[in-house]
Amino acid sequence: MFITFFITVFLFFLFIKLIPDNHIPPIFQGDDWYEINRIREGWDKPIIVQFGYWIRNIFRDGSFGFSVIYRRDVANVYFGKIPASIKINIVPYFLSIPIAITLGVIAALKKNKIADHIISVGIMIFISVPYFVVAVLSQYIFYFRLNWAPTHVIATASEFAELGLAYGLSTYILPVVVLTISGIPGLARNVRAELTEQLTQDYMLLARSKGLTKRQAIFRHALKNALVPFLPGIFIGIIGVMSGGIITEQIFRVDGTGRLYLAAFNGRDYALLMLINTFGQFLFLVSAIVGDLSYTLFDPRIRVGSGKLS
Amino acid sequence: MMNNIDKNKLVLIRDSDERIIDQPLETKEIGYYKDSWNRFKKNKASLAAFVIICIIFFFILVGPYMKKYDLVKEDPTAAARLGYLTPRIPGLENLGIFDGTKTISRGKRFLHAMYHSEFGEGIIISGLPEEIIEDPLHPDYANVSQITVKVDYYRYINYITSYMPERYFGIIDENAVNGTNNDPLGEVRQTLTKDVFEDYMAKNYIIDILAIKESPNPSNPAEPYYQYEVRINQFLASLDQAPEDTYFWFGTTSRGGDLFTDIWTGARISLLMAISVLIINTIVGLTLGAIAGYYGGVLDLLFDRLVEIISSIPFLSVLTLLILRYGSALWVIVLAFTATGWIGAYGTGRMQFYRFKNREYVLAARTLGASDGRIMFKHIFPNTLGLIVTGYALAIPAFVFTEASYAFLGIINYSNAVSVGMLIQQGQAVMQVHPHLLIYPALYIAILMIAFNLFGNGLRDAFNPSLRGVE
Repeated sequence: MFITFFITVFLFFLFIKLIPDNHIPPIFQGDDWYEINRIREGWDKPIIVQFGYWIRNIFRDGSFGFSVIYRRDVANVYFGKIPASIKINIVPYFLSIPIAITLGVIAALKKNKIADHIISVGIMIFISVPYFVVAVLSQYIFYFRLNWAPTHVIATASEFAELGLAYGLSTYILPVVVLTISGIPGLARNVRAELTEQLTQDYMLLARSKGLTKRQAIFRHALKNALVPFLPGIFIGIIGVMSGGIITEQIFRVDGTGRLYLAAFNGRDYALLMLINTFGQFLFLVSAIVGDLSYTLFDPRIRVGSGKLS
Repeated sequence: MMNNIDKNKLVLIRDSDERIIDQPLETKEIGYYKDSWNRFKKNKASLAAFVIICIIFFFILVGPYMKKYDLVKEDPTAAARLGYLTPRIPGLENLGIFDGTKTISRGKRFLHAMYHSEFGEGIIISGLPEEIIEDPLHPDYANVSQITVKVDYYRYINYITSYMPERYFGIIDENAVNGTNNDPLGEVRQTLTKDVFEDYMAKNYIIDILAIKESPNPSNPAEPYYQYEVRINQFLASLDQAPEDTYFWFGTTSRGGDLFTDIWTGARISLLMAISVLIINTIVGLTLGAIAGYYGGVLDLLFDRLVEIISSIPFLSVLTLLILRYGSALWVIVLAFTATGWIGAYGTGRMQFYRFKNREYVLAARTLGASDGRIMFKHIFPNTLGLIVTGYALAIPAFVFTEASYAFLGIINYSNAVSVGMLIQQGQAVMQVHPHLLIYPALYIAILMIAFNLFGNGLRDAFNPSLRGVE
């Protein structure tokens, strides 16, 4: 896993360095800036040596390179944006999971009844319609048509200061609701499918026949088994909260990592792109490890080293 | 029920003379595909989705040709004057929907002038108070500067682009305050040479003549040049149609393009791309998967490592890096989608070939002397086909989904093609004043996605009944 991580990061580096307009000296900065970075990052050396320099700089100076558009160290820029992304993502994340599980359980228990149909249709619609369409249409309907939301984007820090905390928080309601809704259907659908399958297992029959009520049997046996596959995913999701979402941040004007990615892309800030990709890859690695560990935690049937995990 | 049969009717076989022979089955034979189709038909939602998809495909095929309208290419300036028109569909307009009207707020003097001018007569459908009609400076409305009225937007646009600009009174006021001498009719004043003027005169495009300028002709002083400053009926001049006869079914975009045509052109491009991506993915993935699964061993291990590395690269990174390197042409997008996309087909192919390679029928074929290639293509491959084809029905919407999302973000930004995601992005920018630009592309993509997902689920359930319910 670590080797994969290393190779992928190197591939990113390689591809970024292969882009032709990489080290053009900026016009107004003069050649000093270019010279400093040439020495520091080894721009006149082969790519593989540059990669060595890059890693050396990370460990020696804690520096991931220099941002062309922000004129600062990229780590400085990037990690400063993470709190904004977490702020917008964390509440919907914790709201959507219980709602999704509840809906999935209801749908599974009332299978083929009206409640199940309603939930299934809702899931179908929200899983099909692209998230950005839902977000943009909700902006249009709730702000421009019905005028329920105070504004269609979230408040900036200065607006918070000027118009008060209540106003600032109220601007978060719309994106939080939209994000919550977008987080529900996938999980709800899986919970429904898994629980439906568990309910038909033999052990349910045994549980009923030894005298448990239907309720006890479902909540103590079926639900436990049905939720096990999702718990690691939920854990991993917390890590994912940090990486933010480009679409949300673009639509609701959140000044977070997603918008930074777009800015880096549009401004061709390669050092920043490199850091964001590496960090994303790092989060991926961490979540893979956490996922594997938590599997053994939640499901005693799986043991590390049993050969099932690689 | 079994016990109610009269015992006397029962006769021992050996006592009867009748010979019992096997009867051929009277029912019809049902093949795999027929069986699948029967199952599919039972799923009403999927069937409805299938019909919707057929309708969408019909529009994708013929939609771009339904309206002949090349103004954007021929004359971008004139087309831009026709931008942001609201939807109007013949027939439906009488029902009060798609009737090309719009509710706008404008200055009261402007509305008063429009109401009373000959050219602007009847544009305002409702909302203008009696007092303003009589006197724009009526004391009851002294504090109100803007009045909200419902207008026939096609004629309104024609009015402001050919007769009186919206800033007409604003410029007059500015002139009075600042002592400047700006032309309030500047936006609609057009200067024509004599030939064009006569041509337009014959076609009745010209509303009125503001001035005629004479300039000396150096070669022939007896015949000076004439220049005509006129106001031209913009719709007649650009489209050769009066605004009453003009129909843009979904309205027009900011540049004056027909939204209906744009949506279907964008849909066609994204579907063509989806199909080409799928085909490439399948060919590459299946070939590699077949080799890895069939031969196994070291080769399989090597492929496994390779796939692990490739699948750990996020799609977003691949896409952005490729676009930064090669620009945003169509083939770059296809390449980005195939660079990591073949992993799925690889997994399916490898699993199927691995599973089937030790079956008896493969052994039989091998005993008969079939080569590896023949076994792979003629014997195992048909078994994997069903799985792959049903997967297509879910892979197409997934592609459309992703492509539209990145086009919306501006990461995918075709220079010479439209995409529904780009249309939605443009619509979002102006959704406050021109909501139709947002709503129709958004609705199209929502309906397409729902229909495709329902259809894909139905198809998968029909072909693989064992997977049913595991959504």
